[in-house]
Amino acid sequence: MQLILTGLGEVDSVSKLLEVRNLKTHFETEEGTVKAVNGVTFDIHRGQTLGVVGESGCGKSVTAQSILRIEGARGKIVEGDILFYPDPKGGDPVNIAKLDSDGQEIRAIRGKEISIIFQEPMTSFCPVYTIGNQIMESIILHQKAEALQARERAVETLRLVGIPKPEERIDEYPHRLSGGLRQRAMIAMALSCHPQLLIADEPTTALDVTIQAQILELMRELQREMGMAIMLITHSLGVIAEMAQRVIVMYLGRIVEDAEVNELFDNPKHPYTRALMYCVPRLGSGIERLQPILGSVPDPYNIPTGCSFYPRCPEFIEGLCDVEAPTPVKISENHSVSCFLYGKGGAADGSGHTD
Amino acid sequence: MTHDDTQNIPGQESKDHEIYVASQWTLMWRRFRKHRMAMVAGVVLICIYLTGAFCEFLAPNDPNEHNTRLVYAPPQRLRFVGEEGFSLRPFVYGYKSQRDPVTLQRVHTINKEDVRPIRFFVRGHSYRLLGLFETDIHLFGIDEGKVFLLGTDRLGRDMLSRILYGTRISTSIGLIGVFFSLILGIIIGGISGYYGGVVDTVIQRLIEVLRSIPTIPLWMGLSAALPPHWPPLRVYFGITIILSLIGWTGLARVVRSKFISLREEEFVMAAKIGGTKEIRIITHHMVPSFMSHIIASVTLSIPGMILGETSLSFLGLGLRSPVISWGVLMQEAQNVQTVALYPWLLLPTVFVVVTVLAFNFLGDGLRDAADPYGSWGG
Amino acid sequence: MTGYVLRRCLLMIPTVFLISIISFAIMQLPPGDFLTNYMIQLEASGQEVDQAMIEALRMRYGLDRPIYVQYFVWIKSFLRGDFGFSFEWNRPVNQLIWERLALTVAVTAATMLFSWVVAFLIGVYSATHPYSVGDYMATFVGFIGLATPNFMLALVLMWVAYSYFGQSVGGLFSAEFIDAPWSWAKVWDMLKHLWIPVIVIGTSGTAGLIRTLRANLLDELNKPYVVTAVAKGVPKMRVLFKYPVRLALIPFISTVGWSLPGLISGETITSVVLSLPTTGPLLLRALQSQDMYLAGSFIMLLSILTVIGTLISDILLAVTDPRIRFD
Repeated sequence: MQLILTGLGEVDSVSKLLEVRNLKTHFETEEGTVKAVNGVTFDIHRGQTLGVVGESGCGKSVTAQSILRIEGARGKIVEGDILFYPDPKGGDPVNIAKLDSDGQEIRAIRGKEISIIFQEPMTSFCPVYTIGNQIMESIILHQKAEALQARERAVETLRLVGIPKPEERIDEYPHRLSGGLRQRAMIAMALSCHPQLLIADEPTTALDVTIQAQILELMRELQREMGMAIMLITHSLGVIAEMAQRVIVMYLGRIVEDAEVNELFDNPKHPYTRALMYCVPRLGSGIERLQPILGSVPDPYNIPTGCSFYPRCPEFIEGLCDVEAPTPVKISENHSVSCFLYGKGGAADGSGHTD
Repeated sequence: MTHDDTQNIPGQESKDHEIYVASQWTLMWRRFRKHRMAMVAGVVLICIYLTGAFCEFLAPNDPNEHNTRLVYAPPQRLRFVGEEGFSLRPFVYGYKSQRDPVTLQRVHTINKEDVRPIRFFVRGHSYRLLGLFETDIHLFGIDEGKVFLLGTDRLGRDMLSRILYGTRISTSIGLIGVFFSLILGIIIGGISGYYGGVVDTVIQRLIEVLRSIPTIPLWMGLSAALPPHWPPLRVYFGITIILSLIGWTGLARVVRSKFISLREEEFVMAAKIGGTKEIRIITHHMVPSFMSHIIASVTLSIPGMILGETSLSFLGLGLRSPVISWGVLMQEAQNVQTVALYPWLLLPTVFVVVTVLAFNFLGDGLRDAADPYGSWGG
Repeated sequence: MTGYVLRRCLLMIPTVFLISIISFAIMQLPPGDFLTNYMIQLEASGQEVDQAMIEALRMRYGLDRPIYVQYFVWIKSFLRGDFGFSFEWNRPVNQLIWERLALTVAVTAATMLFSWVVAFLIGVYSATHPYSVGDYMATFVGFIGLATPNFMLALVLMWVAYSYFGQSVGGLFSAEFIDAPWSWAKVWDMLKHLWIPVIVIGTSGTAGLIRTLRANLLDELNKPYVVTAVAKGVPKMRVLFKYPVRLALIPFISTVGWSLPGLISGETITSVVLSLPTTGPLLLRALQSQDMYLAGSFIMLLSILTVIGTLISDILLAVTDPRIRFD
């Protein structure tokens, strides 16, 4: 079972940091239940960057929020496990999915072991406190540091993320910083306690292009220095290609394809993945027009039966795709896909995958 | 998050399409209908204003007629079930009057042997319906004597009839006052927002000053200056104008902020570049586009006017007898001892509260509806 | 910050100037000047008119000079603390006014405190438990509170107290303290009477504040910085009070500033109904008898009070919101 989805072939269980198993996070709304994450399985290893890609509304963000248990009052993890291995030398994992979302245990993980940065650097800082105040808050909270010590560490982190004159900037209010600097400050806040996993939820979407590249570069650098794992959520395959070692492609709350990054780009299997790739303009590719994906993401209250992508799929097989839900098929050591074009899943490849 | 999830839904496409072609008013109406409280409030207000328009017909008695034998008579309850069982025709019991041996005052009690059935479309005092038709038909009454469903006051006048007549004055003062405020508000706020600069600053300062003065003392000061010998109609307009002298500031602010945001909008720019005259830009392009917001703000400022009139009249500085308004009626209830003995004197309060509440709910609903392209969550 | 406060204080000058013009205009509104009215009044009551005194007063207030000179004479003496002469009471206005104003301030301040605390508690509860039974109840009571004019609430409360508890509520002091000099016992006695006017005056304002706070807090609770804070591992209650509540308080504080005129307004009419020894009843009487120096001074001072109150709330606003301080 683990074989299929265990990232790069050579890693062993000691290096495993996070193990998400059949996660289902649903939202109750007046109009019905939204199955935002509907059976997702993947692993994250120490020091690795996992890219998560998909259109808006495919459940990428909710997956990330579930890992920190900040899925909100209406969201609920109805099934599945999120196993977090805090100790690199082995030891028992914590099942985050089973924790009280406002309890002591999860709070000890948030900001300390697992941090998150969001898309909106504008609104992710509270406007009435200085950035120093907000960065020091987690240092004081998690490292039991005195205010003065915490301040020093905050300045240090700000310097680390490349903010000029950090000892002055620390007392600035967020609205006095530019978007790029604010995102750097956001990263500083997330990294202030040296987390083992950084979740970056579309960290560059709201920034302009030159800044985007700087921020991505910064994240890579920091990863080299601090050795943390990154879960990078984006809808841009370009960002994925640059940053990730492993990629999962999500569609309507499910993972449709899971592969090592080069494998995915060289050999995309799922029609959806391929469709996503044709959306990206390429120099000298010879393709005259970009091909949009047919239709749009269906109503989240009425997810199609069978494979949820079939209404938009150019290759759908009538009587199969719209009836039965495909299960992951292992294509190669580092590649699996949930699509009937590649066999009937679990039973076919004999791995016993039962998701 | 969930917000993301609700976008780009094909199921909504047809609905979206409808939205694009629907006119602004259709959209507002659609949104407004979702506010059940606002709908109820709207119906209540229509009833209240109809009551004001047809108060002579609805009132069983002449509101100014003194009944010296029935002073402070308690309300007669409208009944369907009596000693002889159920009757489809409602009836009331008559009064039994005695002199209290201690206080020597007349005390009126309900006499259960004296059944007086209610008759509909009876003849009573004559009046002109809507100021047009001379008639003496009233909605209801009893064969002999008079019916006092809400009791009588210190001169034996029928409370119900007085409240119904008061409805006309009290609710119309809100409308007329708001109309004056609106004219002032649109002109001054429009100038302020359209021209900006020094004009805007001066007008904004003036508005701020007016808003920082406590309204009731100011109203009191202004209305105390109305000459006591003025005829009722002139006092009525005097009070209305005094109320709107303060009331315009809020509306002017709404108009101004709308003007400022619209000034930059493309369609206004287009009209300007096309060489349209300013006044035409304002009346043909800008005013229609924020009419809905104005209507909502107007609705929300009517209760202030009604409460202002009521307060002033209650203090004796506003309308005075023989004019009948809810505030004038409340004057009768100034003394706690009197109120304790004759609590029905407080009944006009109920009407004031219901009206003001209805305006608040309606205004809230309208304000939400005024933004038809706003978030659907409301 | 100091610059902001200074600028804000300077802005008060034109405001107070305009207020003084409005107050003066109100004083001038009744036909005839004060002295003529005063003389007619004296003659009507059969008292002898002291021509020398009339003449002295006429000189002092410049009543025979053009209206703008009268204004300057009035405002100059006003600034020196001479508010004119009350013809009804036959005393200088400033002998009549201070204690009543002080009590108005006391009642208003108590009301404000009450509305703040109540609105804060209920507002935070309502926003964190939206659409719960408690929330609906608060909304309902709030709407009723908004729709009921102060004096009606006062009447209803008085009626209930009188007919069900046999208690005559009203006034600020028990009989034995009314003319007594100030003492701790008298203050205590006042506090015991204070709650009725506080509830009466405060209800509508509180209802408004609750609605403002609830709406703002609901807005703020959905802001990304709240999630950011939770994701840092900060406990929920601490997040709530450090971040969204703090931000929701900003419009709340500015609301407090402009609700002051309403409070003073409400205080005026409520004090008439409850016969409190504050400015209301005296102002009403002054207006009824056209004792215009007294009435004008009251209107002027009450307005200045609200202006000062607004200033304080603006400064508080700047303290809570760094975005204002720097702009």
